[in-house]
Formats: sequence, C-alpha cells, structure tokens
Amino acid sequence: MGNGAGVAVSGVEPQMEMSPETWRRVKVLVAECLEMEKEERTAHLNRVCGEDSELRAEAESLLAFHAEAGEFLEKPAVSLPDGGMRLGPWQLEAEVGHGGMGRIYRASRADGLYEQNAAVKVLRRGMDTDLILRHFQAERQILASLNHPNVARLLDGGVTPDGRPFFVMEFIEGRPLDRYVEDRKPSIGERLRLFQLVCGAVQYAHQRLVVHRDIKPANILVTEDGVPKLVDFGIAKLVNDGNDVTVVSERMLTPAYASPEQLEGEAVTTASDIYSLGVVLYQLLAGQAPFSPGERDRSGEPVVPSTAAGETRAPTGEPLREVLRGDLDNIVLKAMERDPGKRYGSAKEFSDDIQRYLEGRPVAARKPTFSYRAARFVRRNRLLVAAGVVVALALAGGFATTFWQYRQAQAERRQAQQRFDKLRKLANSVINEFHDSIVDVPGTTAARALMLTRALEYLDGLAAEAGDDVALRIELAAAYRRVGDVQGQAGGANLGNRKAAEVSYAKAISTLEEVKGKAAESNQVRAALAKALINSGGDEHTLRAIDLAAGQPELLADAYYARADVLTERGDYEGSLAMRQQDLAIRQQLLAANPGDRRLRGNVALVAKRMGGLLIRLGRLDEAYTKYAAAMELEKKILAEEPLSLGARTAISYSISDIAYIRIQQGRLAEALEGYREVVALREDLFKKDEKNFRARAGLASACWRTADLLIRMGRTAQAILLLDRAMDLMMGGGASVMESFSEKGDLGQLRRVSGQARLTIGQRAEGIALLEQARQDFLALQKRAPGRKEISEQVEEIRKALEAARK
Amino acid sequence: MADHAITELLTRWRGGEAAALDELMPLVYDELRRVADRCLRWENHAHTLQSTALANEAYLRLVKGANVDWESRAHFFGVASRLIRQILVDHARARGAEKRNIGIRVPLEDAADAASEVGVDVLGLDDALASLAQMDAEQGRIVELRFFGGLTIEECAVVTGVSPRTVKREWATARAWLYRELSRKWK
Repeated sequence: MGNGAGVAVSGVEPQMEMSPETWRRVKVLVAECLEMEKEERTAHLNRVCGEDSELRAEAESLLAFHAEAGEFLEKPAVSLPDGGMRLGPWQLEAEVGHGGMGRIYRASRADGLYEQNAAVKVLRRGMDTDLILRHFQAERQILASLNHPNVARLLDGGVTPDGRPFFVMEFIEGRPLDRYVEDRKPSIGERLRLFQLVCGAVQYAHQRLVVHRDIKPANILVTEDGVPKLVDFGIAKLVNDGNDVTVVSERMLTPAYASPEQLEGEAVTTASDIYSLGVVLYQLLAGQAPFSPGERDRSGEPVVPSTAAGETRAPTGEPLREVLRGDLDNIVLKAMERDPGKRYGSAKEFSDDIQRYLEGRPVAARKPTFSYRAARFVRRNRLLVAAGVVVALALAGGFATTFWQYRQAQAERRQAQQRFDKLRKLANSVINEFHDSIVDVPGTTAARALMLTRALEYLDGLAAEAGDDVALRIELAAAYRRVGDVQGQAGGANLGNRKAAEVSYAKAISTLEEVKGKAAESNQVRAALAKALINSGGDEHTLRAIDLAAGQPELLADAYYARADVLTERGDYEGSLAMRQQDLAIRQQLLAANPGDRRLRGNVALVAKRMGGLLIRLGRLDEAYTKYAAAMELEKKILAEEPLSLGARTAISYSISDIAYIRIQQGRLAEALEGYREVVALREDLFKKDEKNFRARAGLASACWRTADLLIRMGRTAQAILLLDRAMDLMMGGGASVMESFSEKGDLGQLRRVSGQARLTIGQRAEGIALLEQARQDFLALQKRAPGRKEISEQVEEIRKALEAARK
Repeated sequence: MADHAITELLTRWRGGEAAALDELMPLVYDELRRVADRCLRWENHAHTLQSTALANEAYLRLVKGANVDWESRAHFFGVASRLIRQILVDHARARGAEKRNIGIRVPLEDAADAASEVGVDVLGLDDALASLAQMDAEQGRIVELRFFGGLTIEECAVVTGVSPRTVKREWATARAWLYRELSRKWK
C-alpha cells in the first residue's frame, strides 16, 4: 500500500503469495465453510482461526469471492454439447455461432456420398417442435427451391434425437455485412452496389412469396470475393409460427431492424423487408444503425443519415455528411417510411433508385426542384467546375509571393541584434517547438517543467535588458503561460500544482496588461492576453477572453470552450451546451478548410465529447451517444496516425468511459462493465508510462473507482474492493502534494467511505469501521478548512450514522 | 490419419506402458495444432469463432472414428487438456497483439449475443493457474482438466484417482482463488 502521509489503512486484501502449507490450511477451512450453512460459518471461523487474523482474513476474502464467482470457469473452454452429434447424414462439427434462436454448427456429410459443408442451425429448447416441423414440411419445397446466387440455400431440416428442430443450410464462408464493411472499408459506391445485390436476392424471394422477416447485417454474409449471401430466408416465419406471440416479440426479431408494423405485431408483408433493407442501408452508409439494439420505439423520425454520420469521412476522404446529404438521405428515408404504402413498392424499385443515383440521374425518392437540378449539373460536370477553381487559386498565389518578400525584408533588419536574438530564439524554441515536440512523449512532464523554467529565466533576463520591447514581453508572457500549463492546466499532462499554475498565469496576464496600451502590436497583445485568460480560466477571465478574441475564429472557439467550462461548473448545462455548440461550429468550419489538420480534428472530437457529457447530464442519452460515437471515430483515426501519442490514448479512454456511463444510465450494465474494464487497462498502461503525470494518476484512480461503483451495483462487492484499494493506492502513492490535491476535493474521504461500506457489506467489519472512521476524519478536516459547506457537513453526518449502525 | 495410432497408444498407456504417453503427446499435439491453425485462419472469414469452437473442433477430429470407452475418453481428454490450454494461450496472445494494433472497438454488438459470451481472460488465467500449481500442483491439474479439458467432476476423479467429493472441494476453493487473482489483474 503506497502510504504517502502516514495514514494507516488496515484490512487490505491478504497477500496472494502463500506457502503450500498456509494454502492448505486456508483451502481446507474455506471448503469446510462452503459445505456449511452461512449462519454456521462465523462460529466455525472463530473456532478454527482463534487469534490468527491472517488466516481469517484470507478465508473471509475467498468466501466473498466464491460467492461472487457465479459461472466463472464453470462453462469449460472445451465442451461437446452438440458437436459430434450426427443428424441424419450430417455430422456436426465446430460451433460457429449462436443467437436467440439457438446454435449454429458447421457440418459435413457423414455418409460420404459427396463432399458438402453445411451450416446446421439447432433451435433452442422450449419451442413448439411439432408446429414448427409441420410448417417446415409445408414450406420446405418452396424454401428449398430458392435458388439464387445471393441466397444461402436451405438443404434439409428435421428434429434432433432430443427433440429440437434443426435446419441445414448451405455453408457460407463469409463475414456479416457490418464486419465486412468495417474490415474492408469499401467506398460508398461499392457499398451501394453490394446492397443492390442484396436487393436482388430479396426481390427474387418476394416474387416467390417468401418474406425474410429478419433482414439484418448478421444475416447477410459477404464472402471473400465480395458476394453477399442472405441466410435464414423463411426461417423466422417457421420459428415464429411455433411460438406464441409474446415470445415471438421478445425473441425472434431483432428490434433494431424491425419495421414499425412488425414491432406492433401486425401482419408482416414484403414491405416489412423493404423497411429492414432501409435500416441496413442506413447503417451501411452512415456507419451506425438508426436505432439502438433494443429500441422498439418508431414513433419519431430517425435521425437523417447524413446527420448521423457526424464528422466521419467517407473512405475517399470527403466528409460523409456531404456525400449522404440529399439523394442518399432521401432514398434511405423513403425505404424507412412508417407507412408501408409510402415505401418503395419492391426491392427492385429500391435498387433501381440507387442505380439512378449511381448514374447521376434524378432519383425517385424526391421530386425534382430547380436547385436540386442545378446541384445535379455540377456533379455531372465536375471537370468544368474544377477549372474555375484553379483560376481563383492562381490569384491567391500572387498574394502569397508578395507577403514572402515582406517577411524577408523584416528578417534582414533584425540582423543588427544578432546575439540578443539568438538567445531569445533559443529560449523561444525551447518553449515552443521543442516543448511541443515532446509534450505527448511519455515520462517527460517533469523534464518539460524544468526546461520551461530555465527558458523562462533567460527570457526574463532578456526582457529586463531590453526594457520596453513589446514583442519580447509577449514572448515572456507566452512563456509564463506555458509554464502555468505544465504546472497545472486542467486537461493537459501536468504536475498537479494548480496554485503554482495560477501564479504563472497571473504573471502572464499582468505582463500583457502592462504592454496592452502600446498601440503598435495591440492585436497580437490582445490575442496573447486572451490565451492567458483562457488558460487561467474563471468567470471574469473567460468573459474578457471572448471579447478579446472577436475576429480570430480559433481563439474565439477556445474562449467559448473555457467559458463553457465555467458555466458547467456553475451547473448551467443548457448555457454551456449552447456555448459548446458555437465552439463546435467554428472548429468544424476550420476543419473543413483544413481536413488534414490532426490538432483540429482532435479538438473537434474533444468539443463533441464535452457536448456529449452535457447531454448526459441533461438526460438526453441517445444524443449524447451520437456525439461520443462521432468523437471516437475521429479519435481512432488520430490514434491510427499517431500510435504513440499519449493524448490520443487518453482521449479514447475518456470516450469509452463516458459511453460506458451512458450504458449504465440505460441499464445496460454488462456492456458498461466491459467498457470500464477496457478503460482501466488503457489507463494502467498510460500511468505506467508516466507515473509522475498527475492526470494519468487521477485518470486511473477515477477509472478504478467508477468500475468499483458499477461492480458494487452489480453485487460484486469483493471484486469492487480490489479496485477501490487500487484507487486508494494511487491517491496516496504520489507524494504529499498529490495526496493533498485528492483530499482537498474530498475524493479521498469519499473513496474511504465507499470502501468502508463495501467492506461492511461482505462482512469485513473491523476494516470497514476503520475506513469509515478515517473518512469521517477526512471530512471533518475539510469542514474546518471550508466551514459552512452543506455537502461536507451532510457527509460527516451520514458517515456518523453509518458508523453507529456498524458498531451495534 | 493418426486416429488409430492415437487410440492404440492410449490403450497401451492405460495398460501401464508409460512410454506410450511419450509417443502419444506429440501426435495429439500435432493434430491439435493443425486443427487450431486451420480454425484460426478460417476465423478471418467465418461468422464468428470462439475458442470453444476451436477446441471442440480439435477434439472432434481426434475422437472421430476412434471407438473409445468412457474411461479412455476421460484419460484422453486428460492428456489433451494441457495441450488445449497451450493452444488457447497462444491463440489469445496472438489475438491480444492484434487487438493492440487495431485500437478499440465501439461496443455495439447485439446485446443478446454479448451476454451469452463467457468472458475469461485466458492469458490471465494461465498465469494465475501457474501460481496456483506452485502452491498446490494437484489443484492446478484439476482446474486444467475441468476448464481446459471440459471434464466433469466424475471424469476428473477417474483421471486424478481421488474421490469426486475431493475434486469438488478442490475445484471450489481453486475457483474462488483464481477468481480473486483475475479480479486483481483486471485486464
């Protein structure tokens, strides 16, 4: 246990390494307890352990973990539930998938008549086998006659020896459509053509009066050669016929792709398949499905695909939003009309409209208007339009040359002050370029602080020498600002020394205030002052920064960003959201003008996430998810380009964490836990790379804590305690000033409180009480420091009550 | 195929011929490895493949045609369980490297599918199991047989030569200890 300031925490988990002899004693004791009723265990432990508190703690801990272990390891990595079973001529081999309906196996002909692989779907127990089989007999001819290059053929069917229906289908070696697209990243045109093939298959089946009823990416397998194959044609109907209606709606349809009429239990027609095709196309184009997996509500309009695409780019590099806007939006939405009568009349009509789009002709999904036709014209005559753009660029080039000559003249004039400038340059390059080049490199936080301080000393000396040199003063202020950033700017890798940072920021601001009146470089001064105010933060500073930044888009966006932080802290989420919206709009414009700019891309992602965070607080979870998903898309690109960047990894870890939080709010706890596990792993990694970095430490502590909270909520308290211990280690293990930052926010006290209560829950009474007592002391100390804060006195009171209850 | 050789060696080994095991291991390993490699290649373009399927397939190939009785089967799985463990660990390692390179995926899978997965960190389990075996070799073996070999309590008892009740107790405490170890690693 890292124990920075002499705070003793007893009752941490017993050490894991044990001698064989100790382990023998422990396991015998635990095994004995497990064979007893819970009530008898305490007495038994008392009897066997006596004064041996280590043995007891170890046994208690293992008993607690045993209680939470659930199915852990109970399902073997290797089992032969059905594999190896022979069904008629089919020998089942490996299981290749499973879902709500049952399990799917790969199978081969066992009678050796001919070589053929098949997929065998064995339905789960509890269905009306007779009815399913009767319907199967009735429809088998039709289903088996579906013979189309994009439809997986139904070969056989029957009932297993233990009475479960099974279907044998052509085995397709391929990936589900969504995975195929993710892996291969086909262009939009390729996606559309792939989708047209699917339409062809559906059309073929519809003409034979077979409705699929469960069209979704998982049922569209794409082979290595890019040929899509629809699987499970007609199966949904057979299965549904064998179930009563309520079970059907729960099990046999995939809500995210189902049509409104299917969800409402009304008659299912070919139009329902068209709707599902629309949803598939939506996902294929926008990169995400319009509805979340369990969503059944179809009352509202789906988000337009181009909007859902957010900031992602098409494989060709253009903003996806722009590609989808207009025709493709309209095509998708027509297929997804609520009223079946308004959808495309057939899969062929659907496909034909896509064909028109591909050929650049007007599509049926929208009545032509004048501006619509004009836009069409530009698309068809791209070359001509491009020529016009070249002329405009040439004019701009002339301007650039003049500007370059002007810069040259200035440089010559400067040669007079060579020595002075050299020093100054050196200091500045340390502060700017060199610092920037290593800001993201692991383990450099302390080195950067030292480097900046030294450079600052140089500049300070030069500034004194040069007297009134405005430019030098601005550089000096910038240096102060950067030192402040490294010392403790919220949101960057820093040393966690907020107070020192405030002093540096104040110096930057006062240096600039001094020169502000001097007219010559006032624009530059304004900008520098705005930057210092932004990084310093606070109510007045941010308002002033917004004023000063007018006319400088990126600076203004930064000012909005800082202002939004202030509003958020104050609890004005709506206000903050509006501020962030303006911020995002500016940055998106900038990014559109410089699509290759990684920093801009990262910032757009960051602001989108901040908006997501606000939307969570406002309870608008689906919107929040959309923001995060869009941000993460950008972040993944950044990470792919800069795999070593700590910033990129940190950013992604925050996205996953927040998405997990959304999942908790939606009650999807297992998914949330999965996400948090990933976050803890990522941040352990980040922390290992730079243990001096306060933010990495705090980030890991918070990830452990969040995960623990979720585990407690899921009843897995013993597991949670391990993570709470890790968080505590982190808070107390970084030296006195680090521990102070945690305790002054009340984090440490709160963590001890949670941890104490968790221990009480699993019966570690003494440790629980000790931790609660420490938590009480923590909050009492805070109360002394900041008297009158209601939430602190409430904490003190609640902990007192908890202690009272525990001591009874 | 080596089916017959394997069955025969198994019988000889069960009959008390210790050297048969030495001959058996490489044969079984080769076969498992061959199947695993094929499964892993195939994984890139199949629906989905879990380690379960991989091991199932390997077993199937081995026992296909070999008419082994219940006890021989248990012993056979006993031999194979360690190899299966090795293959799954190699597989997980390769997967881990791949995952690190790809980055992070957004959790958007079908909820029903995700819930039915048995998420066990094979690499972590492998480490923890090695530690357990240092404290108690027999217990380590029981876990290997149960989890990697898929043996039932009764089959385990046959292979290890202790009573089913003992297997059950050892299994319970080993499981609790391993669960705690893995919770600690939390990766």
